[in-house]
Amino acid sequence: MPSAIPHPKQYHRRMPLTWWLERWNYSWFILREFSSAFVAYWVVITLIEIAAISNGPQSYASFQAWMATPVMVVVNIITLIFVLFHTLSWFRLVPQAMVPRIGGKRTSVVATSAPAYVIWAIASAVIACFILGVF
Amino acid sequence: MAKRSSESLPWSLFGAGGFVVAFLFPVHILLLGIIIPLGWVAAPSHAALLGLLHNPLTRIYLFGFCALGLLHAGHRLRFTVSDMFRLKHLDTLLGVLAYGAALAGIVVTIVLLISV
Amino acid sequence: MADKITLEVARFSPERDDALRFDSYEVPLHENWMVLDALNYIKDQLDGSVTFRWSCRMGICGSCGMVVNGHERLTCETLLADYLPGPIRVEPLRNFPVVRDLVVDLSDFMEKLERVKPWIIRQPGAPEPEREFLQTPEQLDTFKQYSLCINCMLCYSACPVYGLDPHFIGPAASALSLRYNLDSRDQGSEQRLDVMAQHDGLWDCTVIGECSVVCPKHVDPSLAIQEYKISATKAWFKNLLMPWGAK
Repeated sequence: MPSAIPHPKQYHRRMPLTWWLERWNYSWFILREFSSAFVAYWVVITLIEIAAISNGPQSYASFQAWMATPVMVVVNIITLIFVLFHTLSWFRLVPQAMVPRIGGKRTSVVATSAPAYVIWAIASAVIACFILGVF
Repeated sequence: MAKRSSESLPWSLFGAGGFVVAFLFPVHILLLGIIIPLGWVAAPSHAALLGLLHNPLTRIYLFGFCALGLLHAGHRLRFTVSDMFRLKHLDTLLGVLAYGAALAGIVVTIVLLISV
Repeated sequence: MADKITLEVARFSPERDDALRFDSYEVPLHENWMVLDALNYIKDQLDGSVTFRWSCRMGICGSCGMVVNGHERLTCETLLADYLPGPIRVEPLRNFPVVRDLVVDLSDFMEKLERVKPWIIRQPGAPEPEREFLQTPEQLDTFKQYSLCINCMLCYSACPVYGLDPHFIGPAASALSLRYNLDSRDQGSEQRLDVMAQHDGLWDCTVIGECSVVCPKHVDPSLAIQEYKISATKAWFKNLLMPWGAK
């Protein structure tokens, strides 16, 4: 005799396309990942600058003029903000995964990220000297 | 048991790129994108920059800067687009597009750096 | 302090409903009552049909995980008074099929937990100690945090990647898998890596980190997964460059 009890169905919630708007932490994550679009943009600018320098003083001068326009300066400020977002979140997350414990004890985020900040400061100073012709 | 994924390879490039971006990109953007264009420091002369570019070490540095930056961005955008638009089933296509674009950028980088 | 608070409780009857609906209940507000106490009051006094899981009521069994006002919580550890003036919305864990009301089907996690082999694995022929395995406090510290997982599934509910791809092995299973890899008594890392180093294993994770935010035991499964990715990558390069090494 067929069972009189129908098999109960379960409720499956589908992730909405707006899932990343539902929680601040999810939105923060998407913004953090989106910083990589600005990384790609800056590589393109770097390649354009290399080409401009290669093509002689006049093409470099027009590149400089373009970079000095208000639109470009604003875009580059936004780019810097997003890339700093990358740097700060990278230093918070990655070094600790690389050195999760020392002698059995778990490392703290502060202990693992501090050396990264030191390296960052030194690298930035050295590169600035090269770019500005101090060396 | 399925063979272990080779995702480790793009992931290591993404990781290396992440460090390159974290350490090196901010000062480049600050100086070359904001401070020099705004005239807060004297812009390096064309001759100085050309001299810097001619140095093979500079070209190797810039190759690493651009290539790892592009591979990092490609990997990350592949996953972000997949997560944001629920496109997990298109992961292979997204991978081809993302790494393909990065590789195209790397080819352009090599061409530009060789012909300085 | 007010003497009552309203709970909006998710309801789902598979015989009648196609989607979740919400019923409102007014419960007395005692300053030391948890959301779980309110749910038990509702079931005892107001509506016996409300269905939910709970057991120890002290944050160790992992049974009472639900979503309270949009965030994953153990309801036995969640004070009603923190949500004044209310109402408090109580929903079942996300990303699992809902069986009835606040009860979800956890069989997917159970399958994944077994798949990662969360037990001590010894190689055949490995020498056995004459008595028990000895382990120093430092060796215990290496994996202890990952062993504190109570399988409450808050991390799976919080993880959007698991929501987008139910094949993802997920935070808790990954942390428990690593717990055994790091245990000095274990010799099964390679077997667990075979399971974890898959596209829907470690590599689905995009480091959103919400799993570690909601974990009531501070296991930090997100850190476990990133650690695991590094260890899987080292193993991958080693197998690539030195394939003659015995597995």
